[in-house]
Amino acid sequence: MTPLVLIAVFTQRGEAGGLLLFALIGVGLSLVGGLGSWLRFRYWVAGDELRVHSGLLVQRRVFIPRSRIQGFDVSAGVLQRLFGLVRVEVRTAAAGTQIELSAVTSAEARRLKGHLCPELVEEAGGGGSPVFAGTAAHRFTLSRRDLLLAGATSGSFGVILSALGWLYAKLEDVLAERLVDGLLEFSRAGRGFLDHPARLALAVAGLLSAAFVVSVLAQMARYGGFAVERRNNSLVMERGLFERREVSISVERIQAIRIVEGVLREPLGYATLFVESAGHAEEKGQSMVLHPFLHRSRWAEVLGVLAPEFSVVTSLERPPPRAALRFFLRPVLVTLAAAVGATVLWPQGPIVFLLLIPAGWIAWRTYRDTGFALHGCVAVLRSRGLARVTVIVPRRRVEYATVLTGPLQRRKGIASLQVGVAAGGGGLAVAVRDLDVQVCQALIDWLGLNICGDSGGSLPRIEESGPRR
Amino acid sequence: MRPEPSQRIDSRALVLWRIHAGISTLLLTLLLLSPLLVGHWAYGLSWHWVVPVAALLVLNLVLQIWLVPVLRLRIWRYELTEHELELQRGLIVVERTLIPLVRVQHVDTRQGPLARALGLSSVAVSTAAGTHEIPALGDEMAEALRDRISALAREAREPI
Repeated sequence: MTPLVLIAVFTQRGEAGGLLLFALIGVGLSLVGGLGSWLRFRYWVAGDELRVHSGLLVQRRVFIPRSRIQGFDVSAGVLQRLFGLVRVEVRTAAAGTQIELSAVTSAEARRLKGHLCPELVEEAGGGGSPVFAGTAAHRFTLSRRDLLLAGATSGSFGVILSALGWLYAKLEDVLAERLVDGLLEFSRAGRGFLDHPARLALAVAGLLSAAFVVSVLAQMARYGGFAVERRNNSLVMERGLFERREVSISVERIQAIRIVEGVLREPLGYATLFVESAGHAEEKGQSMVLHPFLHRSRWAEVLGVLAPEFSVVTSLERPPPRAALRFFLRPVLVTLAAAVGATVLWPQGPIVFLLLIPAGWIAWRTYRDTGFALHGCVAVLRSRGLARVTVIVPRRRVEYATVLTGPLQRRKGIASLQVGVAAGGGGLAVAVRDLDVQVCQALIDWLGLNICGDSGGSLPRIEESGPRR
Repeated sequence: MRPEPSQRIDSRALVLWRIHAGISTLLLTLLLLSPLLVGHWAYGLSWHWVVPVAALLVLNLVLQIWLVPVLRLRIWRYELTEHELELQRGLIVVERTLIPLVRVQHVDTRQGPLARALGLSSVAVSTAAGTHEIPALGDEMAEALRDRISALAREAREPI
């Protein structure tokens, strides 16, 4: 860091002569620093603990007992793959507390994993349960077609578009002075090129499709070579075209399964399946992806093999018809207010009234899709923002349940509910709104039950919405 | 329909909440009102603007100090049974939460300076998915509840 700052300072002053010298000093310092922290870095397994000493100036000693380890991730970036090494990340339930061994051999990674998380390692021969011996039936991959579709429907091209915009702004900053003349020349030559609406549309379409292609490629690089597998009592996910990642989690640590049907994927019947767990985030604030692109018709099969506890065959209780109005009221009123405001302020304002159509449509879909079910020891909660989200939580993973009743809801005998799950650091509250108050009460009673029969191996299937009450 | 939880919190909560609400709402009121008054005296801003806003702010002040704590106190209830803790709280929207004691990770009592002067404590119950707090119980009451929850939670955990 420091060398970069030094360089930045002197670059700004523009002392060209000193620049090279300082750059050299900077590179030298970072080399020494890197070498030093490498020499300082020690890890070993002592009994049931993984111990790490590190740090050049501030020394850090971390001991993690084996029983507290939530996940053991192995990844290999381009740099590591060049040298045949891997990076190991050991996670605990505490957010942010983790040990990273940035470059070890894969044999060493395997040895550590065997030592620290024996339950995550596939056992050679008949050691493990014969049901999950790592046969092809317990391994799911992405076909090339699915990978392409997943990229095309990821919806991340908006992000790419803004990244392109940012890049353009940066380039403009850097190159502005030199390029302004050239650009002027260019625009004079092509004067009027973009004035024509068709050509402008063409240019915009070109930009959009470029962003789209980049986003598809990025998604494909991310999920290329994806596989998820059940080995004994753990799930192992691998992915990545260039940067390989292998993430393991013990099935015991799974708190909930979240199925997200994105706006573009839902019409095709596809969804992303996430695993919610206390210590496991692929990236900060993100849950672990169990399967990036899975068709509705296969949720059953895949969940049944990977995490049978989350198996449900059930139809969902929907909000009663007397609650329907509540779903429309807020979006319609907000849109109306915006439209009226726009009409007052601008002559073209009334066009905002057109937004009532999508707002109403989303409200309708939200009403149609909201649902909740208790099935044996498992609760299924479905709600919609833009994407339709279904969460499956076993009773023993529910930390608390809340029923919320507003004054208007009370009059109509409806209520909303919330289920607390230990996921993502501070906990996750999964909410379903405007159900019959009896249904909400059933949740409280269900959670209050002390004994709960095992839901057993019923096949997981979440039907479309259940019958109207 | 399940009956409401049986226990109420200490009525001295009213005093505590009123002082808290008084301080924060008064600050907010002054913060919003002062530019209006300055506007009126220094720049000739018409009373037509100042008076309604001031009236709203004062109304809010009165509601926050007088009405809101009363409603909160009326709604706040809790009940501890052998296996679960049930809470009811809210103002306009009423929330009822059930926490199975098996899920309780730790319980602590908390006390601010004002609460200490009044002899009040709150009990905070933490699960892996967040903390729920019962505000304003008498000191002994809070400690007894804390110890009871802690003991029951330990018992609930053991058979597993």
